Amino acid sequence: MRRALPIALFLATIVPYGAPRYAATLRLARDLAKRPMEERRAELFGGWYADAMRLRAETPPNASIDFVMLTPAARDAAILAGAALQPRDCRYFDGWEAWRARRRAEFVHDARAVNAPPGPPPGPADVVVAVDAAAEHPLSRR
Amino acid sequence: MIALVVFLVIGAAAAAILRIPGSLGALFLIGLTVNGIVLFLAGLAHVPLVFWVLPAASVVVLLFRRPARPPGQRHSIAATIALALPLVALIVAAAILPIRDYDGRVTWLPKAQAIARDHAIDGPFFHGAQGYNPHNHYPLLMPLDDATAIALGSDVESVRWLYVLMVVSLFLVMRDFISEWVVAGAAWLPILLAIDGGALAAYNDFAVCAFVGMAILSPETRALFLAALVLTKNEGAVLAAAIVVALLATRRVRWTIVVAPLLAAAALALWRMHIPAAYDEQYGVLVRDLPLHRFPAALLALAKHAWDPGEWGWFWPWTLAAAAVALARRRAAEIAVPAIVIVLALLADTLALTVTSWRIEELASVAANRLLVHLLVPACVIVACGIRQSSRAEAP
Repeated sequence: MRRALPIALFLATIVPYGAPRYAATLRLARDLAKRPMEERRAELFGGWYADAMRLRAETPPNASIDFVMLTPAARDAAILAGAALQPRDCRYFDGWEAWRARRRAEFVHDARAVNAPPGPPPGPADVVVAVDAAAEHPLSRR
Repeated sequence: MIALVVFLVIGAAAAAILRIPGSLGALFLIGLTVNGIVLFLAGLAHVPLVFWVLPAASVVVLLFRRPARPPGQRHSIAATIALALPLVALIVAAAILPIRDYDGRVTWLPKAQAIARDHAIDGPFFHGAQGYNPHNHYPLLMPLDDATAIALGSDVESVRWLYVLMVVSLFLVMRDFISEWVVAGAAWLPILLAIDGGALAAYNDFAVCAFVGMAILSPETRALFLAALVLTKNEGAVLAAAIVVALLATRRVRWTIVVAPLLAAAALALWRMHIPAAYDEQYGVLVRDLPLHRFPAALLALAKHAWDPGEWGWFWPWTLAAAAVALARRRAAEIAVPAIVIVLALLADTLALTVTSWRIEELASVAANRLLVHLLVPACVIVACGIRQSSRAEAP
């Protein structure tokens, strides 16, 4: 009994917190199980994913793509889309003015803390994409 | 499935050569580390990476030599069920859900895809010619394992099996060393299902957690896992150093334990010399500007997340209470190694939160739980000791 009590207490202070999250995750998995993986990704990732896959189908692997981020909120969608489009050379710009000046976006929160990205200002890209996180289709080809 | 078979075969062959007895869980984790280290060294020597060579060579080794079986352990049926339920749930979830953590998809998987495509660890992607590569200098052990799974599997999503099986393997290994009920309880922690840094994420925090666990629990494979820690994440080097200090301070090992992690660090430094930095932390600058007045706030932020029942239940208060009980019962020697590791790692983590110019609470909200995940195994050793459960981990 002396041995069992602390173990029971230990479990009683962990399992009730974990079990609901396990249940929620399994419910999510059950709801998505019948769909193909591509559709599960689109459902979980949000609007940018379908747009990125369409771009992927339309551009060769060696294409270069300029992402012009229209708002700060567009950064996540642009970066996630760029990762999904690998190995295409994706470049990122904060707004049209920076794009025209070929000034790459700086993805730093603390400039003192990290090194700058490599590479000079990029040349013209094969494809230009405007990114608006608030739009139904966040990535629109220009 | 490919992930399971390939890394088990590599682990079994390595264990057979090194004459290390290993359970299935241990063999899988050994397979991950050996494959990653061998491929990293091959890439460093500019040998084109052919991902099937090591598995094939391992099969040949296993034809002639088998790894020894570890002594059988008896586990209670109730504890086995309590552990199996969350682990099976994790496997079911991993079978259906894609990898969806931000850093996994943006930072780690693109590295793996580039390595699988270029058969090299210094190809165009690492020179900024194929898009955004945040943290170009991050260690590559796990991306190399991921690249193996991608090259031998169907697509990038096949790597999710590595992550979930790594967690399952860790828990199976843990219960050979730590009270099976404590391990079962830890498997129910909500943090395992966190999208960022959880067991289904490609963020590599559970890789660090598993390698810390093996380095502490398994003396036979300690050197291997210390080297693997250095090659897995930047935090891994700090944890490897903390483990080495703890083991040396308690006189559990000889000084030669430093050789493997130092060689790994040298190999990593050599690779970094030929790779441009990109959004990599400048630790020299950060430490030079250390704003010590932020230290208490950073410590408080870490404590706040450790005390968050929504992510951890009451796990960390239990760890603290168990440590106090062990000290009161004059069992300090039994918890010395895990306690020193936790204290040193938390000190380093607190400094990491202190030195950046982020708002501490903002940075802690994305980093604190992941950092605490790294310390799961040593904390379990302390909890088991505190509630008077047997622990073989203290007799390396």
